[in-house]
Amino acid sequence: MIRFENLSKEYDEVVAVCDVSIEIPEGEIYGLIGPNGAGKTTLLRMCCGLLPPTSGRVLVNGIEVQHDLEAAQSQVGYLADFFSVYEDLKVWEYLDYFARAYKLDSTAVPARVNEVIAEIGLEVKRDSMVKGLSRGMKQRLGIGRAVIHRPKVLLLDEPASGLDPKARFELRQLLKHLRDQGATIVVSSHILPDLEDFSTSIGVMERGVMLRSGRVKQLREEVEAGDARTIQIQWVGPVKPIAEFLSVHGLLQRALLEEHEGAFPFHGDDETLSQLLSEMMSAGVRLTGFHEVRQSVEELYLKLSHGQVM
Amino acid sequence: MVKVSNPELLRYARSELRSSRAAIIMLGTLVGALLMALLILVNSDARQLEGLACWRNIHLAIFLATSMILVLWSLLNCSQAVVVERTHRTFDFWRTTRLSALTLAVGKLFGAPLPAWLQFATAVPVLVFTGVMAEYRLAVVIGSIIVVALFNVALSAIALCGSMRAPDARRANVFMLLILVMLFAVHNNMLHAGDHETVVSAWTALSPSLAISMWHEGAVLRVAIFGYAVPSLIVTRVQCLAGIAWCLVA
Repeated sequence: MIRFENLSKEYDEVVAVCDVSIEIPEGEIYGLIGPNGAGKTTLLRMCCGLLPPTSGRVLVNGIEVQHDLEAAQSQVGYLADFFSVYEDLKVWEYLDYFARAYKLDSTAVPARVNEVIAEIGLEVKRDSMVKGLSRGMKQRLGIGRAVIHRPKVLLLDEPASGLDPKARFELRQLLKHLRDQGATIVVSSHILPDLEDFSTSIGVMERGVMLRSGRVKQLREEVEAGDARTIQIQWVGPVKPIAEFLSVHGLLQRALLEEHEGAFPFHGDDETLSQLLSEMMSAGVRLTGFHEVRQSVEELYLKLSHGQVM
Repeated sequence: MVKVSNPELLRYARSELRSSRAAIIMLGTLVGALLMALLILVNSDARQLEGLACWRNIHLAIFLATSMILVLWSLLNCSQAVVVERTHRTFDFWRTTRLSALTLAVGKLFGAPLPAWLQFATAVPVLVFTGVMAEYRLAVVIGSIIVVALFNVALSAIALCGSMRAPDARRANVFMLLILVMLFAVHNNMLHAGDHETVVSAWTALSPSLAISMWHEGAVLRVAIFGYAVPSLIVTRVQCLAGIAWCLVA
């Protein structure tokens, strides 16, 4: 859906983006992560044609952005990191303005405006002035503006920045909803827990360089390769049977056991782990919980980058 | 109902002309015109009250006041119209839409000064009425209104160009002040020239005020263009149209 080919952007002597080549398939929610100044915004702005690249090219749905800007922009919705909205309009008027600005069929505009208002959950604020909305609502309105022309690709630059926890939750729900409708979404953020919940792929940028990019699962496997997996368990009854079991399997030494829960490191594949679980139950351990502790996106980022996480 | 197809113009119409605001502007204009008329009546002697002079004074005072408000308000709004979008970072929105530069420029040119236009439009019936009572020819009254409107569009277009170039709101204001200073200089030059010469410098046509004033008195101000004496208002109209076209293309 989106392809960056050897994309670079230089400002005077500063290299903002350096030779980025990645492909983001359709239907992904791609988390672009990195510290401030990593080049995330520059990359997004080149993707929607607001900035010309110094070299390389961007293709959106097969359309080269620099060659056919209008066609490419009809496929892209963009929400900038800091943006103002027209405060002296009503919510529906604001979306109506952009629907017309994107040259939607004027007879279809009212229906589309109402549809988007419902999608972003602002039905009760439809006739309210924009200046009376909370920051979270304005952010959702901004996303509504970005999707009003039904773009296939949505580029969101730090959409959760400055939002309270409730507004962040609502934003996450909205993004999941848009993903379910088939949009490909690129979200840049330096607040990593925000991306944890919904990103299917991530790209790690630092100083203009794309350090790693791929599916979260794949990157996790790469990072965790060779590392022991951490298995967390909960049980009822005494700790003795579990300690004896782990001792027999040579796992007790690095295990951490408390009264009814504990964790131990494990080397092996899913098959071996499943077998271990069976044996544990056969040995009389009354398990109530058994799961693998996966690395968070934040931990992944720290391992993939040079640690300049915010 | 007028259907507006320019989204930018429609946006301004919606935000600037909400019913309460429009009512205040219209009422303010009418009350202002009435107060001016009363003030002139109070300050006129008994002999003037019975003649045309009183109506003429009222007409010219309202014409001058509403024209000045139109020009100043439009200049202020147009000089801020684009630079504010840039500083508020709404500029990028446009660049991702399919609005053409011309659509935006036309929308801004006529949309940003909409409250000023409403004020002027409210005054038009008053001007026509006082003009008729003052026994001015209707063509002169209507023609003068058209010239002021055209002059205002041209000035607004120049202010809009300045707003496009200005990096921040402060510099846009400085640009607006420069336009005002230039207008004042032209007007000042015109007053001196008008006193002594029948045919005045072509620069005089940059401002229509003296020509309009003379037109009301039944005279025609002429300016020298390549050795020919041409009516100043014709030159003003051509200058305005050329200025508007140039600004929109630019």
